[in-house]
Amino acid sequence: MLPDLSRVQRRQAISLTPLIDVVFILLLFFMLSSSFIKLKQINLPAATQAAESSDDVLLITLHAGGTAFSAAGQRYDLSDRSALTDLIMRNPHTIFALDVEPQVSTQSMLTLLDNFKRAGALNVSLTGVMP
Amino acid sequence: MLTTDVVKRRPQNDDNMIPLINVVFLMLIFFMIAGQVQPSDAVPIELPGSVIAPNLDDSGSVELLVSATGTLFIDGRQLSINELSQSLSSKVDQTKDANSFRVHIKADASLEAQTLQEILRNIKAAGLTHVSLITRKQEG
Repeated sequence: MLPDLSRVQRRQAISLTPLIDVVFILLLFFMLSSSFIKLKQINLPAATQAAESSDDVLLITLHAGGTAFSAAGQRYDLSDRSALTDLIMRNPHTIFALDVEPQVSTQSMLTLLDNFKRAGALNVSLTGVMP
Repeated sequence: MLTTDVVKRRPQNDDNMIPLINVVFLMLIFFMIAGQVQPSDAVPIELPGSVIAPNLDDSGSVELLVSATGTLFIDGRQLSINELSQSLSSKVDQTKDANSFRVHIKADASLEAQTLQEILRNIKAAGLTHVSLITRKQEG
């Protein structure tokens, strides 16, 4: 028996509009909720870790304004890179413990910490975690 | 002949949408792969920038948020500085490997540094020695 060809219907093409709706919603979700900020971490060597490498701690005090700091009674300008490098070269195994005066922001303190690390200091920490 | 067998496809309304769909799919894949979906913080925090710092490794850690005014949050719950040591100690007790337990501090860039030092002293008082400050990458 021959099939009744007249009853075979042409397949309907799938409409793309619902697909586009869903994809747009997904796109909006990922665009609004995605974060592209690369986070970093600064490890603060604490008392026990610092004691393993050296027992020599030099207190650094960042002055208000964040442009100058003092170490061992001497005042340094933050923009004077050579003086900072010289200080670190004279104390290669020292732990630099950063302290701050009032009205100094966290950003200023981290800028000083960054400058010490860029100048070659191996152990830089904050007085809050030091003994 | 071959040409007689080819059924001519009827143009549809959706055909001119295909380039749009291609672009939208590409954008979707880009945002899915390149971006990171993270839960939002309990309080908006402008992270300080740093030039030299390794990438964040947040395994086995607790995140402590410190707002610009010095308000503390752990797991979205606000707490006072007096409760900090106790809260961190209970977190250490819950963890399997207490030796590798690390405290990540997300402090606002405009927070007074002396407040941060006071918080660090409280963390040290809780017996925790692995402490890190979270920063964002800043171009030198």
